[in-house]
Parts: sequence; C-alpha cells; structure tokens
Amino acid sequence: MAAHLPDLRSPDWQQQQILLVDDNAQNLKVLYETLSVMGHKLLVANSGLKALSMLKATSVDLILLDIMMPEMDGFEVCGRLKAHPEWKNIPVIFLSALDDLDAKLKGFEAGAVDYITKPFQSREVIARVATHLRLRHLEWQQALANARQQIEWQREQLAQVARLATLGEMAAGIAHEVNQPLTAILNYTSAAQRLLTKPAPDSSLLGEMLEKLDIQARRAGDVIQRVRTFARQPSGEATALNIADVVRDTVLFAEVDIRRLKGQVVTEVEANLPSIKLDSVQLQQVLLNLIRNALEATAEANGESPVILRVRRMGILLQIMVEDQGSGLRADIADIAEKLFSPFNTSKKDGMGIGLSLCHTLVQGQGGQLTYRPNQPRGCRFVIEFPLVTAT
Amino acid sequence: MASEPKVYVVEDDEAVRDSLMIMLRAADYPVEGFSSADDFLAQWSEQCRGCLVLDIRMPGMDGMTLQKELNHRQSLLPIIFVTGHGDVPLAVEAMKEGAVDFIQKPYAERTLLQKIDQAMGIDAEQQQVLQELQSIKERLATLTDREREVMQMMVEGKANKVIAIDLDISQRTVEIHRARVMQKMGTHSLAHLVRMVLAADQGSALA
Repeated sequence: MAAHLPDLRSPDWQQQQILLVDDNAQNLKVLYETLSVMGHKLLVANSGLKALSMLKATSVDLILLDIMMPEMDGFEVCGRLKAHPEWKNIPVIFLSALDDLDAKLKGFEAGAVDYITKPFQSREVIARVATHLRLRHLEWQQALANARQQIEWQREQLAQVARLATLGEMAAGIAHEVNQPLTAILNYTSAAQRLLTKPAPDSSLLGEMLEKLDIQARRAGDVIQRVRTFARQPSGEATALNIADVVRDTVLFAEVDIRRLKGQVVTEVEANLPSIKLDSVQLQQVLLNLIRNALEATAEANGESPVILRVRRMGILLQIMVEDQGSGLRADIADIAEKLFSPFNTSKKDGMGIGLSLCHTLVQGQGGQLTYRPNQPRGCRFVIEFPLVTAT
Repeated sequence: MASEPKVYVVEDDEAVRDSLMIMLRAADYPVEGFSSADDFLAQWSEQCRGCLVLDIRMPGMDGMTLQKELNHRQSLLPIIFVTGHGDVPLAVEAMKEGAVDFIQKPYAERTLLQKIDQAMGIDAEQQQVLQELQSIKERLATLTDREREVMQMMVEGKANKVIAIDLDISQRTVEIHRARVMQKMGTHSLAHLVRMVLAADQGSALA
C-alpha cells in the first residue's frame, strides 16, 4: 500500500508546487505569468534533464510538460517519470502545438492526465491546472486517511500481540491459579470416595464436602473467565467506558501476579466519573502493564507498600495514576523521558524494554498522554491523562 | 507437640490445606495443619515424628527457607515438597538439601499416600536407630574407666593375656572386667559389642 502513496509531506492546497518544462524561454515566461495569479509556487526547467534533476531535490504536485524539446522530448520525460517509483504519481499535463489526435493519444498513453494545445487561452490553462491540483489534493487526503487507518489498525494489532504476550508471561501464574482449586477438588473427591466405603458414611460431612467442591470448581472457573475476558479479540473501537469497571476488571486479572509476587493493589476511584470514549482493550493492556511493572518493582525492593491505582477528574482531564514504592527506575533511563518511552531500553533482568514504549504508543493513539514522575519517598508514578471532552 | 507420628501439613492455600487434611484423615492418618512456615516453626520440637508435607511456594517464609531452618535445627523430620506447575528446578534444589521426595500439584491420592508412607517409614527407621544408639550410650555410661579401657582393647581384638600385660594387671582381673563389660552392655557376643561401639562412635556425630 505504501508504494502507492503520494508523498505524504505534500504541502497544503495553496502551497502546492508546479513544475513548468519548456525549452523556449518565451513560452516559459508566458506560462509563468499566466499561472502566477493562482498563488502556487512555480518552478521552471528549460530541458527534460533539468526537470528530472530538479525532481530529485524537491517535491512537485503537477508538471506542465512541453513535447517538442531537443535532446529529450516530452514523451520520454513522461516515460521516465512514470517508471520512477516516487514520481510516477505526479500528474503530467502535456503542452504542445501539435494539434493532431495521434500526438494527444500518445501523450495519454505515456501517462499524462491532460493535454493543452498551444497557443493556449490563459483561463483554460488556469482551469485545467486548478482541476488537476484539486484532484491531486483529494488523492493525497485520501491516501493520508488510508495511512491513518493503517496506523490505527497496526496499533490495534500491536495491542493484541501485546496482550497475547502478556498472557504468555502470565501463563505460569494462571496455571498455578487453576492448579490450586484442582488440587483441592481432587483431594475432596478422594476423601469422599474413602468415606463412602465406610460402614456408616457421615452424610453431613459428605454434604459439607460437596459444598466445598462446588466452591473450588467455581474458583477455577473464575480464573478461566478472567483469562477469557482479557484475551478476547479487541473491538478496535472506542466506546463510552465506565472507567471504574475497566479498573476493576484489570485488577481482577492482575490477581495472578498479585499472588505470585505477594503484592497488593489498592484502587482509589473517584465516584461519579463521567464515561469516556476509549478502546477498553487497549486501556486494559496499558493499565495491566503498569500494574505488573509496579508489582515487580515492589517485590524487587522487598517492599510492603501496596501499588496504588488512583482515578480522578482534574478539570477537563481524566487522570489515572499508578504508583509504587518499589525499586524505581535506573537513573540513566528515568532522567530522559524520550528514552523511558522508547523501545528496547530496560532495567529489568528479563525484560525486552517493550512495555512502556507500547503503553506510550497506545495512550497517545487514544488521544491521551503518559508521563512519569519519581514517587516519594521512592518508586515510580506513572500518570495517564485523557481529555474528557472528546475531540470531533 | 506430641511425639506420636503424624503428617504435618504446611500449606498457605486454605482450600488445598483443608482438603488435604480431610483426605488424610479419611485415609486414617493423624494430621496437623499449619497455614504458614512460621506457625509450624513455632510449634516444632525435636520430638516431632512422622513427616512434613510442605508447599514450596508460600507468602512470608517459603518452603525452601523452612527446610533450611529445620536443617539448621538438626530436624530429622522427612520432608515431601508439594510443588506447582514449573517448579521442578526448585524441587531439585530441595532434594539436594535433603528432602525425601516431591510431588506436583494436582496429584493422585495414591501417589501422595505412597510417598507419605515411605517418608514415615524413613522416620520410623531413623527413630529406631536413634533409640538404639541412645540405649548403647546409656549402657556405655555405666562402665567404669577401667572397664572402658578393657572394652576398648577387647574391641581391638587383643587377647586377655595381652590386655593383662598391657595394663599390668592379672589375667584373672581382666576376665572379671570382661564379664562385667559384656553384662553391662547386655550382650554375649564380642561381634555385637564391636558393632555397638562402632555405632556409638559414628552416632556421636549424628545425634
């Protein structure tokens, strides 16, 4: 897809550049004067070769190309343009005194978008140039929209890959969480079978054990349910979210790590927060990453303090803070925000340095901001802010 | 803690602990449960008999640390480690530290009971050896210095005549000492006496 994109650095409508190519200085002068009223930036070249070398240095949105030129004629220049990966989408209008059908057709075959016969009418040239520039601009806008869509899609894919990677990292913990109730269930059933072989089985004890079995089976089911909630395909759509629900679900899922790292997460969510339009899956991924980092840092420092997740409204912003009293960031990373959120920087033993950079990308993609401050007296504080007024 | 052999269960997960204790009681094992390593240590004494079924991962003091502490206190209680998924490296470490066995959750009742029987067997054997050693030591303590000297030479295989010359006493006196030693040590056979003396020498390093 990227190969078909026009140059995305293309300037605005008024700042589009037009290249005029003609070997005749007088013709160039007339064309220049005619088009200068349109207010676009005009470039001139008096030979095909010069035109091609100018294209190497600057980007052009439209070319007016004379056919009859010495050394390299217009058809050949056009042919070379169309064979060039970066230039092939620049619209070309042929200018020529040749008013025969064959020449016009040959021009279109060479890839031109239009043909103007000399001597020309100023108003006609202006009208044609304006039309093609507008088309070019629309095409560019469309490509830009496509590119944006593609970036958005890639971001969703990234979030999905990240959540699967997170699941993978958490697999051992999840297995442990399921193993505990399974072990209890097997113990209870073995005991029940033994009790039943006795001459007078204690039915009240058996009843009690059935109840316990039920509780343990549900406990295992809850773990699976949490994994399923987390692992479901992202919608990729922003919906009006109740932030308290997202926080609750995320913390519930983080239970696996809370138990593994013997940590604690305390949530302080302000009451009556307005709903906010965000992609819940991406937000969950970000929160989970930050919570897991905080739990790990706390465990590493043998800290007792819980990880605190605060959500509050600050004027027009929704603020989510994840704070810990853990081991903190390596000084050389913490000092430079750019470095902190760029990939492959890590102070973790087995880290890849993807987590924070991904969080940053996902938060920005949702129109928010992720910032870092050292926490007092130690540890980290990550702050996510989203505007509550949704941009149109 | 009483010295009646029992299965000590140390497991932080309430459901796992409760179910395991119910299962062991249903299989007629005396059981005592603890929710943390600290609780167990607080009640531990060298009189504890039976075996310890110990969860390897626990908040607070974990199973490995408890094992080290028990080793430090020269506990002889056999330990069966209960491990979760993927804890095999930890279990290997625990075996190096002297654990008798480990079992992975979730386990089959039969497998666990077999391991418990085996561990309790080891404990009973150890107790028997210790008791024998204790009785040998008690008997040794009743010997006089001279009897001990004579016994040492008997064990070295010296004839009464040689002992008499070495100690510069009459052969008759040696014979009397010799009879006393055999009587006090409760044996008629020189071979048995040799074994007891060897066991006492080696055992003093153990006990």
